[in-house]
Amino acid sequence: MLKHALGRLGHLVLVLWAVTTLTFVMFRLMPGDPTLNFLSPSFSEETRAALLKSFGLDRPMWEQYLIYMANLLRGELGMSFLQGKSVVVLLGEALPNTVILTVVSLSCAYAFGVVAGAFLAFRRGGLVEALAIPSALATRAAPEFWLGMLLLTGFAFQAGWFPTGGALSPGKELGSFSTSLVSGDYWWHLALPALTLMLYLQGLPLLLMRATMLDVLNDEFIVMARMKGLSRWSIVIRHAARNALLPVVTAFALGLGASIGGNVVVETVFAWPGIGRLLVQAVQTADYPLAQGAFILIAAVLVLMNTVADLAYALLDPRVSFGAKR
Amino acid sequence: MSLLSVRDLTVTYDTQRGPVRAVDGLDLDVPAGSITGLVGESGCGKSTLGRALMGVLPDRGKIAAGEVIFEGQDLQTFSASARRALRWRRMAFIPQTAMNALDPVQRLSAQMAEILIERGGLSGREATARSSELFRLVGLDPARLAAYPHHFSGGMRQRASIALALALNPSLVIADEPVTALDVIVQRQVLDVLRELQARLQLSMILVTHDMAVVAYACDRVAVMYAGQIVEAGLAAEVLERPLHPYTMGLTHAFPDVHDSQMSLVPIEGSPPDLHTPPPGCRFAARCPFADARCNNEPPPSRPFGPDHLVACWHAEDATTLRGRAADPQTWAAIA
Repeated sequence: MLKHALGRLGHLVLVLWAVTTLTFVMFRLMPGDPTLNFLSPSFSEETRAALLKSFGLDRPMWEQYLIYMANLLRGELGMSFLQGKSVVVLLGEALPNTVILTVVSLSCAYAFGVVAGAFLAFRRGGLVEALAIPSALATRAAPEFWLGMLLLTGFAFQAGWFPTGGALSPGKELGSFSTSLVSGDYWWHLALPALTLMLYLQGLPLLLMRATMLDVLNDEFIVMARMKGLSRWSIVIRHAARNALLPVVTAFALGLGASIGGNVVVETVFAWPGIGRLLVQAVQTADYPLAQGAFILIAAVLVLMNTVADLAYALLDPRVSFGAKR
Repeated sequence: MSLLSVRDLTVTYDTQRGPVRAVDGLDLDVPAGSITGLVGESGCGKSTLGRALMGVLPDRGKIAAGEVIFEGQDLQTFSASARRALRWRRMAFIPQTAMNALDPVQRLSAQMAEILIERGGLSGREATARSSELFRLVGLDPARLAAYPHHFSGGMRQRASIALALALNPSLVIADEPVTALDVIVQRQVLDVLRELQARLQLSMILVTHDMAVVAYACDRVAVMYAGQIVEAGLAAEVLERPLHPYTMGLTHAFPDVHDSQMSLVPIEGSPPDLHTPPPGCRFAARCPFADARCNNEPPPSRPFGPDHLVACWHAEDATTLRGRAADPQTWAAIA
């Protein structure tokens, strides 16, 4: 098990190296020049050259790459062109917001999806199924921004129950993230984006849980559990759900990784100050260091969560072994 | 008195073509302290019968008629919860495919403890002690209780299934093809375990099989099943030695004998009748080399023939002659 975990970590490092290198190449292949964006045309050619020099952009590509990698290893992602702050600081401010949004909505989505999916596996072929499956599919298929706008229209603009965007009410500066976290205002702002994301995410666990549950309920050991005269509860929870949950747990870990980067749309609709919105801003303004940093962070989280999913599966399913002897 | 008496039992499955009677008006007696072989080819309803006796039929199946009298009580009059209370305490089940019959993500100790604690009312400590005792009983090392099912070989899993079945000291154990998936060496070991435990614990056992050799090796009694009905039943030695029903005669010739390569294998031609529309007469008539007009039109009643031997065949009186003819492959080839 330990050997396997170390092996996975080795893979992780390799993938991260590839991702960071690709990011480096990608940004240099993009048309245009970062200086075009934040230098006015009135600047002289000397000023521009001096600026390029100060950013190190006059050096040969391979030298830039080595500097970039060396900086990365020190946890140094450079300065934002436009905001004049360190990229690490900017990402550090945005990441907790994204993590909270993702964890809250994903947990709600999976809690709801698993219970509803298991329930639907029992109630096959009824009115409940006829209504529930299409609704689950519809919310899954609906674009997130559309769902988000509907909720905004209904609950924020018309009813006025929820704020229309941001993480805190205007004029409310709470300083550190931890003080925001305990303020009701923060959670009040979180409600609509989290609900949108939850609606969008619940379809997968629901349908997955239902499908695997139906599979498991046909298994011989479920028949045997009935033969043994075990209570319905024991059969459903201890045997059926325990087995049906295996792929759902994997999907959760993968979903966590994907959502950190995939919240771009919801964060933009609700002006939620997370990584996704930061990335959009950075790309729009050609703020290369910031965009690069956001990309690397998103990729790192995704790759990390894949590894977690892999390791979690081994812990949950004793049949998955990695050459470990028993 | 019999431990288990089945009277006129009918089990139907709902299918798209209407209900099908997998078990049709079946009678069976299982005396206390014996191993009764229930033998027949695939699809004859023997596994359905086993599951019906346990009261756990597939969703589309139900007991449509008849009585199951077990330890003097008619189980058909029991409520669902009373029926459930009886399961595993009084009658237990050994499945064919022990691989899939054990929960793949739980240790054997947990699966053992679940029965002992939830159904047997034991404490955790008592359950641990009893689990070890049961593992020793079936010839498994109690240290292996910590293993998961996939760590076990087929034979070991079958032993574990037997240990699970015996956990609450049932009086009747229904074993559904317990050795079918195993190789012959392991088959014999598992059958030896079953026989020894049956004798030691004074169990009654129904051993469902399609293999006459298993009946010959392990069973005291045998009931031969064909198309949802028992066609012949009696002491195993008697039935195998002097079969009265042509189907039984056919079965005894349908298995190869390694010691006698000269002995030709006699297949029973044709296939069992469609149970949606069973034939009006004897169900075996279409495949029987000795069938006549009466066989095709009137179902033969089950009647005693000699001590402790029942048969449902119009020609049972001529069995001695028929046995001679049944040994000749030409007799059966004519049906094809």
